[in-house]
Amino acid sequence: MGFTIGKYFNGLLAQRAIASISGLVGRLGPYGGFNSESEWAISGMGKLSGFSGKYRQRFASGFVSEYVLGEMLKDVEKLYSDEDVRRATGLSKREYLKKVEEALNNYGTDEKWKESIGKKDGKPYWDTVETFLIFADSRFRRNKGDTYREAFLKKAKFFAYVDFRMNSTAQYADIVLPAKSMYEVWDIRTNPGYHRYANMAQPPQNLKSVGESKSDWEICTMIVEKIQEIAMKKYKETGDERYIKIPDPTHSKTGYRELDKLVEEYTYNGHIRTDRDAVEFALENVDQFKPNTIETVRKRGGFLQLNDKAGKTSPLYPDKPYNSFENNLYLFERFETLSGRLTYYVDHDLWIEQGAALPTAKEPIRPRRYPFVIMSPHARWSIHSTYKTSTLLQRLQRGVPYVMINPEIAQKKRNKKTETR
Amino acid sequence: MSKRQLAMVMDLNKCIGCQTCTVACKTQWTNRNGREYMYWNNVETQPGAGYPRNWMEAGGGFDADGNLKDGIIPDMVLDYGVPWDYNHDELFGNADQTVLSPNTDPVWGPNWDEDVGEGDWPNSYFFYLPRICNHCSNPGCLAACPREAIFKREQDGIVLVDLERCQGYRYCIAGCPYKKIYFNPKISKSEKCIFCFPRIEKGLPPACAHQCVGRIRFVGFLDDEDSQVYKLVYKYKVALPLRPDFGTQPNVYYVPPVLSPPKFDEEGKPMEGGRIPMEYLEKLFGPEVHKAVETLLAEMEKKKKRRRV
Repeated sequence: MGFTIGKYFNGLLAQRAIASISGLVGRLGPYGGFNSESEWAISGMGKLSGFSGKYRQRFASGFVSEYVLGEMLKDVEKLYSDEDVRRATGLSKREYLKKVEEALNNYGTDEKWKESIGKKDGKPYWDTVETFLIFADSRFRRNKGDTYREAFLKKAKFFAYVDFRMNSTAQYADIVLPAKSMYEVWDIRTNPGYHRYANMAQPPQNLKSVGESKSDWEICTMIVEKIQEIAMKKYKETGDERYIKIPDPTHSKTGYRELDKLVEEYTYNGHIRTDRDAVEFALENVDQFKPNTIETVRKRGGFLQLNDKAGKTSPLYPDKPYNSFENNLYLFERFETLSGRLTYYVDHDLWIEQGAALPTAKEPIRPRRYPFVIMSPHARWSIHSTYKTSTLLQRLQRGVPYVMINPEIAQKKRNKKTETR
Repeated sequence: MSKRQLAMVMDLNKCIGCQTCTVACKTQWTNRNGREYMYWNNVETQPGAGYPRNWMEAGGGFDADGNLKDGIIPDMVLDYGVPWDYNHDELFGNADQTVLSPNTDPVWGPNWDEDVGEGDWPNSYFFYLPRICNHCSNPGCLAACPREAIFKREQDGIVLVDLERCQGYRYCIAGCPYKKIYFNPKISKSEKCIFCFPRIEKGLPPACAHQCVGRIRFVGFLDDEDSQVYKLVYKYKVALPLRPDFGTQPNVYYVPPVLSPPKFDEEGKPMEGGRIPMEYLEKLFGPEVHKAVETLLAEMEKKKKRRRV
């Protein structure tokens, strides 16, 4: 259905329009359907991530929480004119931004989070975070401009960054922890729904680590060991329980986090300390990986075919293409909508007010003052910004960024002055 | 003449142009000691000027009477392209004020005209052509060398430079019509693809073939009737040397690209035949290419039918 087009302005409407086609023409299950990312179900790791229900994670929409964290409404103010917003939303810039601010204030705070505890859905969280441990996420590059970085660094009291390269985000961290690269560690990588394989990565034999680099699993294990060590030391010195019982009424069932059990809990009673342990655990516990061990996957060159349980709304047959919604068609399972049925009309005040009750074509918000749009695909010789600065790979290109334009279009555009953004 | 000949077949229908072979070769052999600009293995887009630029027009090889033809030595800047470096040190800690930039204005490189090709939309076309030294049976470089520094190994026909004898005259570079032998300015001697002979001697394939993602490369002895290279070159006759008209009798063979999408007529309807003109393939692979393409298409059709049953 396209890669996260829902993130683009009015993209949700486009997604619904696309999804509606298969429903309206009755092409579901073996007769059609559609794939989107997140189409595979990977289950069985809950006991590891859920701590048997003892702790609750503060999940957040990566997109919205970054938006709030980086105060990116300021960029919206700068970038879009009243006319742009009116064209895309039907509202004035003032009215529209007021609505966005209201929505953000109504969710995601500590207070709101507490209110929604126990509810099955909707626990967004983007309240103030002060300590960051970030893995391989060059967010200052991804979020263009200075606004995000300045806001982030102002809020961050401590910022630890883990990566195998010194990228532009690492340069702003208080401390950089050297990680091994993806080719030097044990890992299982699946894809959210584009193909039915998982790939097991394993370090080459006798590979020496670069400097003190460690896998992210080992790094985390070492961090929790250190935290527990310091807490226990202070507790033994003072006898004060507050050093090992950290109050946390919202996210812990017992009301506090027990630092004296941190390592035990984190490593699943010592079973998972390294990246290799984690791979073994996943192969033993993920229903969709069965039946497999490191040896059986290694024999097939690291390939692991997901079994029939991987399909979310249809079985994943080993010998047939995957078509969604078979379970809904034959087993009458509810669709994942509020009504449990196929939904074309969304009966919600905000959606009706926005003219979005039905999937409706809308104008893009893109500022008209930039007349020439370059749609750039993923670059060929880098993965996002990774390897963008590699001399070896740059020499296999033209050494500098370059754009290829159809000669006729270049002729038409050549006399217009343009700026890029 | 060597007793046996190792050969490589590359199936151009399977090459995705990922340059893994290029990087495998570069990191193994040519990222140091004056070899930085050399690409013993390169993958170029054809039609295109390739690497070094316009190598096909740079002379060398033999005429119909077997005489060595004149050739040129490609220009370091304009034809090979200098291996530019970056201001990583300057960038470090100053990402706000500095941008990554090369220390010189690049004008050519090993993959410069990537994906450019020929033709107008919707009938534009290109394909990838990976190139290593052809380890020819009649090498132009060997014939051109006044020092007899270049030789073919008895046991496998790999063409090597004896660095003790080489004096760096560079006649070999002009004499090779594929421009697959390079001058090392640091040691003032010529160097080239060695078919990874230290790996071959351990029973391993060359690094480029070993790392190939598309599994396009087949390596074997040409006289071994069980080998894939024998079957592709002699039995089915679908693997052909590049520019046989250069007269050097290459031992790297190519399965020509036949799986191009169809050509569209003015109304946008698909037409018979592939997009890459046969005249162009004939220029690259000689007149035998017509028969090879016919065989390839017929065999592919047979396989498709078997699958349908």
